Amino acid sequence: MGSLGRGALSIAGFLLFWEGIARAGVVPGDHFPAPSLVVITLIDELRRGPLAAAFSITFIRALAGASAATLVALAVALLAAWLPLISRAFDPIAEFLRPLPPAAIVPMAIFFLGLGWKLYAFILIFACFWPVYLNAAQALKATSNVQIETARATGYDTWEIIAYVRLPAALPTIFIGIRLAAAVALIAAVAAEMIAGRDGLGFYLIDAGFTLRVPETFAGLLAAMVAGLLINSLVAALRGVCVGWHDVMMRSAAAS
Amino acid sequence: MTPAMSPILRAEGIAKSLGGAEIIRDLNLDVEAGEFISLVGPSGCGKTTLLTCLAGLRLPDSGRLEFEGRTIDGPPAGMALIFQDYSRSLLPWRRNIDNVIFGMRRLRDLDGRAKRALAAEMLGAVGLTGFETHFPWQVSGGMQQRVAIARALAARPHLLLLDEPLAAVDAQTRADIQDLLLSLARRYKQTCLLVTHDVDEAIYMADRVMVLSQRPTHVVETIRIELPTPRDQIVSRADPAFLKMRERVLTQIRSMRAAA
Repeated sequence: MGSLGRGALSIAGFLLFWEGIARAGVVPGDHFPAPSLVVITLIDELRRGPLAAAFSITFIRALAGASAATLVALAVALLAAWLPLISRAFDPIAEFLRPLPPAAIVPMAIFFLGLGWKLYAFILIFACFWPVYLNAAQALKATSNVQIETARATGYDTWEIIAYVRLPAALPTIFIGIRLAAAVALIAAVAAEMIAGRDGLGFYLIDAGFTLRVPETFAGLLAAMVAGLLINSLVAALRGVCVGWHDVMMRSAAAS
Repeated sequence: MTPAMSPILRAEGIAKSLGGAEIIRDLNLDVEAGEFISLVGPSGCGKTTLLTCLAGLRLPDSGRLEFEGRTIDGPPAGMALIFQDYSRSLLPWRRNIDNVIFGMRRLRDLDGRAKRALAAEMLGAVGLTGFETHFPWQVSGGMQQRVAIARALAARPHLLLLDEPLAAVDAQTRADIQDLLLSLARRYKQTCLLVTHDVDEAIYMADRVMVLSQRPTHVVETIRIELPTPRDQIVSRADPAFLKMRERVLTQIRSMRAAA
């Protein structure tokens, strides 16, 4: 049996276990719906509209936020690689701000930015910036000196060396940051929606939960999981295109 | 010397200190077009620092350093450099042929297609036909060094600088690549300056061997190598003249070590 088959089997086992517990009434059924009921509710809610809308709003927010944050973080990291002064000025600020949980700044941000897209742009870029920036800045600094000197002796200037040598060499590490950012993006989007309380999966979950619509709450959870999986696979696909060579090199190094 | 025979590379009284340590003092050397020069000296004498100065990667603190009649104030066009650490000098995300194309930065008159054709030709010249689309990490250490040689030659340099390019390969590969370098140097009339700590290699490869002193280093002696060409790993190394020059250089290096 392939790893795909084993994975399907283990998930099927988990769902069966869940279904069994729910039907046996170990936990009060009102608060713990069987997976079959959750799936039925999920399909129903998607069809009626509210969950589909919540799902797409949150998904687009997380994706756009993570992408924008990645671009901003890469730009700052490249500037820091070009001018070490920028990195020396910026890194202490980074150390100071980075430990802030993104959800904690939502109430403050609402004062300035309201409840609209600006709030989400700010929270998501703040949350996703750090993993990309820190990985990129560190990796851009760590380029092999031999590669840089070879490029210099070949006639490449500082920016060409960043574009053709330091950035490609740093990409495998940068993608570690992007993968973290993608995960953080969904957390931050859902948390902000819960606090701002207008739309998205975060609001859907709070709304369904506080009005004791238990199957809907579970359906919302399932939708959030699908959003996470989808974002992960998008990052994995992009990673394959950009640094596929690295994975093959690592595999062949491990095999020999 | 007549102006027509002016050297391609000339160092006059150059000095260089790094981190407070004096590494080069009053060093003079000339390289004529078409020559193969070996620089040999006791280990730790500052060979690599000297080479990075000659390549324009570092500037000397004082003295005159000229390449093709112009003062070196940065990596000059017309020079290419092969490092000892060849496997780390290749870019692992580029296939072998794209690594060779990377060396053609200064060939602005060539379009992408012409560069690719030239790169394939250079890979052929170093015996790597059929490995164009491999990545460097998919071929052996000796083959990686050949890719680095092809990349350096593809820039069509007037002067090729080699920094102990064979220190990290096994003896058999080493002999093969020595002969490859010699045949390429003949074929392309390539002026070469090889830095090495291996006295046998220095003599075997060169038209002239320059012996460097301990730090702060300078050229102690220049020896013209009067061995028939093309050289042969067995015949040349058994030549009485080879053995005499070997003895002379080794004695000199040993006496410098003892004095230090």
